[in-house]
Amino acid sequence: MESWDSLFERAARHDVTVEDVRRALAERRGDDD
Amino acid sequence: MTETEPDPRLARVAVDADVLAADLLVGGDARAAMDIVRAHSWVELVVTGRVLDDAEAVVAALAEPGLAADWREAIAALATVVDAPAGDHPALAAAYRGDAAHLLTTDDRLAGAEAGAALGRWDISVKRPDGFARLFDPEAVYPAAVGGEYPG
Repeated sequence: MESWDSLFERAARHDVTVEDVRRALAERRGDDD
Repeated sequence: MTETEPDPRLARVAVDADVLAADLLVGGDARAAMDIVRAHSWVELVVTGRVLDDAEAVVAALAEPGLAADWREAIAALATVVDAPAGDHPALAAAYRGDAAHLLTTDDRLAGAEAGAALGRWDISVKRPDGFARLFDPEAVYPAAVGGEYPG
C-alpha cells in the first residue's frame, strides 16, 4: 500500500482548491440524488 | 467514589467526502484534521461506503483515477465503514450509525436546523475541519474516551 506522503506528493501535482472539491461533490450528489 | 466510564464515542470521528478529498488534494485545514486521525490509533475514522465512493469520484474527476484508486486503498485501511440506509445523507449516516461524537464537513447545511435536530438527538457535533483541528486536544480526550493516562 502506498504511503500517505507519496499520495500527497502525487496529489500536489494537481492544482485543486477546496472550492473545486465542494463543487465536484455537490455536482456528484446532485446527479445521484 | 464514582469514576466516569470511558466514552469511546468521543474518539470516533465521522468525516464527509469533501474533507477526505480535500485532505488528499488540497491540504490545509482538512489535512490538519485528518493528521489527528492518522497520528492516533485510538481515534477512529468512521465513514459509509458512499462517502468513500463520493470522495474517490471527486479525486478521480479533479486529479486522476489512478490516484483515486490508490487513495481508496489507503483510506480503507484507516477507516471503519458502516452501513447506511438508502436515502440518508451519507456523512450523517456515518455519524449516527457509527456512534461518533464528531462529524467533519465543510457543508454548512449539515449544521442547519433540520440536520441539527437529527444530530442533536444523537449528540453529534458538526465541525468544520479547522474547528476540529483547533479544538480536539488528544491529551484531554484520551482519558475520557479510552481511560487511563495519555500515552503521548
